[in-house]
Amino acid sequence: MHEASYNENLDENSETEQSIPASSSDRIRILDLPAKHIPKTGNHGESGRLIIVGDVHGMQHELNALLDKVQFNEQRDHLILAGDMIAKGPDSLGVVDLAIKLGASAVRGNHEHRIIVAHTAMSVNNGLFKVPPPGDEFQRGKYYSDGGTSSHRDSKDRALATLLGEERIQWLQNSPIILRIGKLGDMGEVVVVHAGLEPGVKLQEQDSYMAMNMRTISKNGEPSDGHVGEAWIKTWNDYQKNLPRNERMTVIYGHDSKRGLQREPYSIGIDTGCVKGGHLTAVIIEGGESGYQLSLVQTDCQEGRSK
Amino acid sequence: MKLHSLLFASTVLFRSILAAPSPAKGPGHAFNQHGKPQGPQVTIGNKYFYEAGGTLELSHYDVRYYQGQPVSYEERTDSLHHLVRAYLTTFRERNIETWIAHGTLLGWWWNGRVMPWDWDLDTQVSASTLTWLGENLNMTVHNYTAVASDGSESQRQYLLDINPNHVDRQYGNGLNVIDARWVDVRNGLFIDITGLSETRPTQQPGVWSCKNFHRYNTRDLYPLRETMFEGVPALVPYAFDKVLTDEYSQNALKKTFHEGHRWIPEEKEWIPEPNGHER
Repeated sequence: MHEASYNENLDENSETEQSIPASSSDRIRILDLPAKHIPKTGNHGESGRLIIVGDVHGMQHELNALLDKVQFNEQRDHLILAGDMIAKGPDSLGVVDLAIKLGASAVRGNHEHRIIVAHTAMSVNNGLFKVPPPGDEFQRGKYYSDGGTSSHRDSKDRALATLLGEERIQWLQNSPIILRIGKLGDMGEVVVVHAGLEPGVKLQEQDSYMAMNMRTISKNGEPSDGHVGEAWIKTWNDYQKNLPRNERMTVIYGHDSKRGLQREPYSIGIDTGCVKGGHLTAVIIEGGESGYQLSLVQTDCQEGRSK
Repeated sequence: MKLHSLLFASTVLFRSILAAPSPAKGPGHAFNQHGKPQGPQVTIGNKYFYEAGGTLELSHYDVRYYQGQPVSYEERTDSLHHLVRAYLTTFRERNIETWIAHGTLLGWWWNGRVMPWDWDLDTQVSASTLTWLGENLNMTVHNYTAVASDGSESQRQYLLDINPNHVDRQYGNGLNVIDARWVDVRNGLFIDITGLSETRPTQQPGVWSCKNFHRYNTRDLYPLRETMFEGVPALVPYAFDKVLTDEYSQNALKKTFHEGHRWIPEEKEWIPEPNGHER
């Protein structure tokens, strides 16, 4: 009976957080970008562009500045956020509101996912747990019924989930883990994912946690969310180069601000640490005479983390 | 997780108690005059929880309620199913945060159920929850109605027993790494409940561990995920894949033959192999 109810949940996209056992936890949300947003090649003076921005982290001012810089046209261009648009920075709500207003697409980052999971837990039993009076190792936090912690556990996630509110969370929840843009010339199939993909594994069989968290792949081919081993893009690009041209795939991702801007033949990493006072980066894809053109535009950022 | 370093002498000592028709009066574990079960009278530091025996099989029964012979495969499956349902339901009704761990989490990963070769179950709570349990619910008996697949009902009782040594968060002599137990009083089968705390909050903030040196990052545990286990609502760690592969390796999530059982993907179940050997 529990199996049955679980399968029902899977069919409603928004419920995948209830995730679960097994095999089914590998189920990953994939969305195809509506064809109308895909830039046209040839002599189409009116064709719009795709503007892909990673890891905004609540830096709404910087996002606005970047959109101004690329002369974002609300009618023709389409904004795609590569995850981690919220948390850390000053205005997560503003970023989500702007994304909704612009009709942007987004993929889920590890920060969105945490907030969604915390929100789901809070909606059950009000998510309140009995914990003991102060004096234990935790400070009291207001997101547990009678205690909890402000610096530990998930109080921060719960606070942000509460702040975001039902509507914005719903929007985040509707965003996929992998956004498939489609075949774009030499780039092959272009997809957007927050952290990374395992080469040689079908999109439907990618591990959703790793898609939102991976940084490296070990020698024996196991992806990891740590910093040990080689960057996953090394294995990824090696793998693509050995595929027939029409089967290759290019990934646009964020997540790894330590490595910063990463331009490889079949991957573009665009987390340039805006919230740490780095840059905010946009990948622009537009249709040219005979193929697609790709360019990068950056703006400077203020340090956005509250001390 | 478990230590099987039980002295033969203590097994013999407790046999005499077991001979009584019910978990009855004895020097070690007893019911008081109100019928409320008492914890063993121990000095802090001694081993608190005693199992029925030093063999692997008998180590899965709490000695106070062991009926003198092991339960059958079918009875065990039924007992563990209701044991964990009763535990999760009771904790949820009372808003007590707990999540499933170790082999039980692995069972959840495969199909949301106890693995049929498992003997006891593991859950975790935060150290603060453990303290709260010790102060508010220690030695309480919880009633539960078990509904069988044919719809017939039976009443069961479970004892929540908190090890007084839990206040000491160190491994110590290793005899008290289990902090609390949820025991089926019909046969002594139990859930091991372990408390996690930041044992070195200044040197290693955000690293949680139990007394038996299992370590977790706060961000791997929280926010806990809402899910189902054995058909009732349950919580599991946020990064359950990572927690599982750290403890059991990737192989545990791939291997489809375990302890004489084969994973049948179509049925999402572990089925005993007729000859018990890998083909």
